[in-house]
Amino acid sequence: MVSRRDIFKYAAGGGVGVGVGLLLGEVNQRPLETLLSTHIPPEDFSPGIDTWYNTLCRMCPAGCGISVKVREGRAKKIEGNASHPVSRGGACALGQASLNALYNPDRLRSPMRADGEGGFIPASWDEAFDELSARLGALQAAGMGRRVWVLTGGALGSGEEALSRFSEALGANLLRLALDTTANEQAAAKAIYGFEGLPHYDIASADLVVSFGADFLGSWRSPIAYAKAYGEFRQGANGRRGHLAQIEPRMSLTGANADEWLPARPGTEGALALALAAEMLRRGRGGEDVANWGGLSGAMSLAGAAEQADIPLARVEALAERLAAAETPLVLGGGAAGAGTRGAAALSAVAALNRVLGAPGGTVRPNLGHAASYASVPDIEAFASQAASGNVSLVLLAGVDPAHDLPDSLGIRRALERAELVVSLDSFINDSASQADWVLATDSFLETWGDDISSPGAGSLTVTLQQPVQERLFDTLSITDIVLRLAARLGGAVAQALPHADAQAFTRAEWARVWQSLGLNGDFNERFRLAQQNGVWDAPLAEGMADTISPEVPPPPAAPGSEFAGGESEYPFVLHPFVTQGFREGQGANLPWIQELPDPLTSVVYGSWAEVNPATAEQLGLGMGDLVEIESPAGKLSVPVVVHPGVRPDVIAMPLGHGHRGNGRYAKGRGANAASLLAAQSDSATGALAWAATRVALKALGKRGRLTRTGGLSRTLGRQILGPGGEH
Amino acid sequence: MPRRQEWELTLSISVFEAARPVFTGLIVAAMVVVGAFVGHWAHGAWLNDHTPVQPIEFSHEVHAGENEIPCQYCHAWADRSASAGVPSVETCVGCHKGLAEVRDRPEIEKLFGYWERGEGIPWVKVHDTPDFVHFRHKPHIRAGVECQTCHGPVEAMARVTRRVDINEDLRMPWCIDCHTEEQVANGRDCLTCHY
Repeated sequence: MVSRRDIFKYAAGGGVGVGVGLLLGEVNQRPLETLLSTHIPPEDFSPGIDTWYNTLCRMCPAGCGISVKVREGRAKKIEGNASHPVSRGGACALGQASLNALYNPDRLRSPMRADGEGGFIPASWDEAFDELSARLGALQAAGMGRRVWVLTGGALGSGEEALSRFSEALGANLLRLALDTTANEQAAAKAIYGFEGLPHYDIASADLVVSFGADFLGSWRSPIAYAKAYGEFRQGANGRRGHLAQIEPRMSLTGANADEWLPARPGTEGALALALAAEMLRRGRGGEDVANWGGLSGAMSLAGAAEQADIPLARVEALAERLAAAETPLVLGGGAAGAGTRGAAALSAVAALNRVLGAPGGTVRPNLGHAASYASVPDIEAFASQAASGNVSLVLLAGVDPAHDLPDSLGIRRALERAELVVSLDSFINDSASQADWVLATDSFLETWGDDISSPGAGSLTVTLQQPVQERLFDTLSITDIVLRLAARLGGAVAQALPHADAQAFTRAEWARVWQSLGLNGDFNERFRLAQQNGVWDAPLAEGMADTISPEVPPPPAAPGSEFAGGESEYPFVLHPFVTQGFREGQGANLPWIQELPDPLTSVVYGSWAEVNPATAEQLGLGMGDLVEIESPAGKLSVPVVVHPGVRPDVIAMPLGHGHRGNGRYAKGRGANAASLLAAQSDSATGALAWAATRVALKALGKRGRLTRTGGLSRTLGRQILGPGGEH
Repeated sequence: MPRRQEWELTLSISVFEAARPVFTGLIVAAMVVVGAFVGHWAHGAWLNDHTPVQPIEFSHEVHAGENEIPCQYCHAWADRSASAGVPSVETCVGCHKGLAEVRDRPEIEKLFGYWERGEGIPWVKVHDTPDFVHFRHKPHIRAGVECQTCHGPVEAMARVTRRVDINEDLRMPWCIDCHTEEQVANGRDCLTCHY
């Protein structure tokens, strides 16, 4: 029997149900999306259809041509430009991740001025230019242009030309800063091959490559170009599979790909190369051009060099055997091998080995680009001492972050504190910019004009055009634009040197100037239009333009071992800082795609680490992820340990580019900065910064650090992927 | 016979009466469930925003209906791209700056407001497919499908609505039926739309 009361209950239940249903419907409703119309659409605007623009990647100095996919007026994806002779369709992780810089939430949207309390407040371009030009004008009028210092990075091309002309007309000092040993490579090329600039290495046509510290597949010089060439070298473009031997104290990406990895003691690479060169001469490999070298009587014996380098003599002899038998061998030298206190001598020894093997003119050729000349340690110290004595009035940081990328021991951070006015031209408040009075927000390279001459190039003169692929997102200007506007306001000699309206006009004018200086015929406008389309001008060479190899040069100097800062008893390990493709010296740290990309050898993400040999780890009682304090004569830091067999027991390896004080949310406070450990060592011949010549001590802190790795097993779990006998 | 009656009587007294609160509870629960379905349906039928209010009360009835402006005059990329596109503010103003007789209407004032401020108009999406469906206008337009087949009689709508009975809110069976009927190449292949 259903009662009246029951009926009420059923009805109430139904009512509650309907309410619940309505609520569910409301909650599950698709949120409304907006479809924002354009105001005035760009000329090439078709919603849903890609437009690809060829331009230049500026994330490192390699000068790769890239193709950028643009949709609805926004850059969406970066690939290599297939018709570019350097990149040949390849693009590295850092280049692809440069979109993260363009759309970064921490990117500056307008000029910023310091508020005096460690923060920054937005300002207008007019305010910035008013103050800057007033200061510069006063200094110029007082004849004190020398008190202005322009610090820039390694980029070449029109942008660099504008900065040089600006500094010159102002009478200012220009310092090119990078953790770089180009000067050593140039000195070696000049001494042994007899030409200016960096050599072009033809890896593809070699049958044997011996690399002394050059991580050419990961980070050295032009990894994309070398990786393409390496593919041909390995897959037998000339009917045979090339053999690769890598000599370095810590296994790099190139070392991991090599047929043999020889972990030589740091700083002994030059002596080993010279001993091999002498051995080759003994075996009669040298030609007429080295007849005056007297058999390199000053070189060590193979046995002596093997012992010094701590490599079994049998392995060195086997390598000598291969070198002697090779038809088109190529020896590379770079990275840490060229960054000791005897780096130039070590690279000269490597070049001498090439010369004895007959590589110059074959696998080693003159390069047609011009490499940047970086500031030497004495140059940087001069800047620091000028600042310390109060003689620096204005520092213009043009897209560099020396407070992070260079060792503290050089005194740049202190110099920036002492300078009267510091102006940073950057897209982020990076470590150096946080010390600035003004930070002028710059464009992404995808929003502006410029160019670069690839060095090392592809064996021809490769000039790549940089053009905007989209409109500016924010109220920003390029470094060239800022320099040109400042010049216009300053007037006089500076304005005369730089009379152009903007970066586009300046780039075009520079191309026209080069066009004329090369004496080229034809329609320049048509050429420029083609370059905009193809992204590159693979230029024909005028007669006599190419450098040539000297027929005869004096014998190479002896290659003594590198000297290290810090005594061996107090600091028992050599610090091996290494560059990774994604982070470089710090340029990739604010890009989330780079932070989340596992390191190819250790699979670490979002943080830095120190690589320690298992034997050393056992001795010190360290396990994977344990926190250690690393101390050098120049500084100390703490970092988690990766126990890794690919590093010598007497070496501690650390990636560069981590540990920022600023530079946005993805970089700030993540990892530790290996550069802060480096002593202010320099090359005895060129004065280049010897960034691989510091010893360190290691102390376990007795706690675990934060180490995030995507892998973790070094075993193959029976998958037999290492071939017979490779199972463990 | 008396025996059976006795049995029924025993059941009604001892089992049904004892279980009575349970039955009531079950029926109330069932009512809640049925009610929820009814409520959800009612929400979809009457309360869902099928017909969103737009930032400017633009009337397709006036433009496409009375003035017979072809769809692709404004949605110019329908035959060339995945998306048909919405016209730029420049397109609207291009005609309207010559139409002085409607210039002072409040909605036209709004349009010129966007134009003068240099802003785009944040139209509200009426038709949308989920992110896992890649609908492309181009092949449909090129195959001669009328816009109205999916969008309904837009030329008769003062405010565009997606409540059009024929397409059941652009659900997949409706797509598949048409692909089957028209014998579209790979028209029943999952990867034609889900990729």
